[in-house]
Amino acid sequence: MDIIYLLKLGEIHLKGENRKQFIELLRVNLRRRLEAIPHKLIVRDGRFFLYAPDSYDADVSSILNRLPGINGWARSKATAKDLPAIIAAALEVYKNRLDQGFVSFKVESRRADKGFALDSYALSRELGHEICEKYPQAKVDVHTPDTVINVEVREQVYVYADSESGVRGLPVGCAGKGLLLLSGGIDSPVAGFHMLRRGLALENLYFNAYPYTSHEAWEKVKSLAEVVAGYGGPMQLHTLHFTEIQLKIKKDAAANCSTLYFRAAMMLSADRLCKQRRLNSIVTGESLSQVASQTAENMRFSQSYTDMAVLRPLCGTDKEDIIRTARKIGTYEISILPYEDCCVLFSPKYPVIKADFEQERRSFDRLNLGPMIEEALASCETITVQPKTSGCKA
Amino acid sequence: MSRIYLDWAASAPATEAALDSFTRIAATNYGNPSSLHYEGKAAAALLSAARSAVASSLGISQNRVYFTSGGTESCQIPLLSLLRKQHSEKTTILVSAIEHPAIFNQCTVLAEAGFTVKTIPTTSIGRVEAEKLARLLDTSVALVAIMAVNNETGIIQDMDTIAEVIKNSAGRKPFILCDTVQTAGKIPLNFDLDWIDAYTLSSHKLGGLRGAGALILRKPLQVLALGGGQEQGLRSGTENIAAIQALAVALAESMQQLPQNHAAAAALMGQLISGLRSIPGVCILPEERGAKDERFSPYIVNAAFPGLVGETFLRILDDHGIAVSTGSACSGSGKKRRVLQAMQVPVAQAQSSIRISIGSSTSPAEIDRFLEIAQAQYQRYRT
Repeated sequence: MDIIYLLKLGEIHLKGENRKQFIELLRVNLRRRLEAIPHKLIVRDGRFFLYAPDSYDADVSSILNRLPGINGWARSKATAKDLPAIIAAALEVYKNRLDQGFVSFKVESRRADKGFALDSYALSRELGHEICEKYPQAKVDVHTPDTVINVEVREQVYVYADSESGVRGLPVGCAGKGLLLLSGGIDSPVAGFHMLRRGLALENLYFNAYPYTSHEAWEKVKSLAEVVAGYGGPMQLHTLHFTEIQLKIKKDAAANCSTLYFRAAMMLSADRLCKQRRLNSIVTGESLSQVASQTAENMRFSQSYTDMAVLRPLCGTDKEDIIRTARKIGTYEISILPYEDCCVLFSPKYPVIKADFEQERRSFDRLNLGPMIEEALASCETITVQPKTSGCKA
Repeated sequence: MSRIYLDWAASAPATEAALDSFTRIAATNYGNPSSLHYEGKAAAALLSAARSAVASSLGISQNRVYFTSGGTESCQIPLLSLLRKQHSEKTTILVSAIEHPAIFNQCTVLAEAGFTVKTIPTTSIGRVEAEKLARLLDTSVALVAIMAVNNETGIIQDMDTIAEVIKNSAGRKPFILCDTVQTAGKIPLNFDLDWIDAYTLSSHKLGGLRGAGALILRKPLQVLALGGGQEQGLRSGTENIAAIQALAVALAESMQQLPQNHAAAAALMGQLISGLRSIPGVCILPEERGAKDERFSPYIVNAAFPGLVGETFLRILDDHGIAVSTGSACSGSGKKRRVLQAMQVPVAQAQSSIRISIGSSTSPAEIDRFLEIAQAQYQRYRT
């Protein structure tokens, strides 16, 4: 038997003339995510009605929980516009909630079809009365109910209890596609998640420092990309072999500048890849003052090696907030696996904290890393990672 | 080019004879040795023959030999048997600072159960400090664990000195557990010392197969884990006859060939240590170890490559066809180097160390090839 899922849009409703384009993009994104699931999707008056077999409920829920662009969703009953049928549906929905321990309730009715005999208030009152009659323990509470029974009168009548939360935001792709610099740490997957929610599709770039980092470290990054893809759909993971560049920096640059120069070299490489792949921005997990390389002066320096937009969604957040989000989206447990992060190797004891822009630009340019970066890009390895949605819930 | 295997202390290749015995018995002898029918009796006869062979190889009586699943279980049985004596006044366990995780980590459970676990410090070469051991040996000590040969550095304990300290201690003698997993079949040792209560063996370290080991006991124990009562109730569970027979075969071989293998290993280790010392920056851990130092097992050496994390170097060598390890293979990918730190090796040096362990088929050419690759790659990747 099919379950009907009602999807609630959020920020899309604030859009003006172009709202239709956002809705269409959301529709396309959802259809792609549901490719392996038999389903019917109806979009009417800015409402999404999804029909899918109940045997796929876990998969559908997992996809809806992670789909940027919807604020929430609910499993709904659908009935004819016939009062006894609506009452029966409302009693069933309330009974399910009662079985879960929710006792007090209120009924909220909306009529898109104003031709329906009862107005919203009368319909709510009638259904409330029937619920109280049938279940003596039921208690109406219009201010802080345990559960809300929603009724929407449209071409048919939809009855459902409280909505599940979505990740909100905008449909992925409405803001184009960027390049996420993905390390094995906690921050960068969270940065990716935030940008997906703002509608930016992503490709991922990992700087591989093998043998200083292990195959397991790469597997960890791949796992992180899979979880992030749970929110954005299948995405590319590019692996750039960076060891020779790191060794050259280590050998030829002042020790206290090595991290600064790695970041600049990474930015330069990301810039080239963005242009090759026609991506519109670079996304990093930097958070101001978190580590020595993440000062305003050092960010200015590394950013000067690209003219792409550099998006740093975590810049003003603190670590606790980032960890909380990482736990919520399911990346934290992977990020803390004990494999080396490409950023922490070669870290000098006393790194430059406030780069002297002109001086460091001159020193970095003298390293002449351009040819090495081109060589690394020529042997860049790209795979497509598939969404992984089990084991975590946003 | 064929690979060079220098991780014999983690697991040795099975000998031809052990493998032949294993496959033959696994294929034909499927009876349960506890069963009363013909097939069961045939299996029981093989078990008995294996016990007799192991006892004969070690020069002990066969009623002291109990088969287990390996070295770790052999260590666990006497340790966990202490939990059956919780009302005893003996509530202290002494473990040398360089014990294998099979003992060191198991002691955390005993500590949680109320035992006081104390660590016996070692000298900078990893030998138990006799004076400190003497001071720790009071009447509350239930068990002392001291490994005969350390699996990470190869240090051989000075058994005579330890025996003297233990014999001179006041009160009733504690139970002495001696981890001899890296000793049996490799280093000359008397398995009938009157002051040692338990010795442990692991088959796959000496040319047998995984899944079999032995616990050599002076007297039976009251064990924690009960079951069908196999091995005189000491280790319940159906016996792995094929692997146990392979253990008997491999142990007999290695004991017979011990003098010549030991001499060959000593020559190879001399070549290896001299070669390592000639690589600029490399140091042997402990630094006091000489090229032909009889205080150490000629099968194991630990070397630091400063400026290159041990795990990184392991990967590099692996990519060049060479298998070595960092620390104990049994301790997983943990970054702490507990054994080296107990020997006061500086953390950075400990982190940059690898263990190289050789065996009966290691050749001088392989050592040369390893040294050549190690030198070149160390120079390339050290930071």
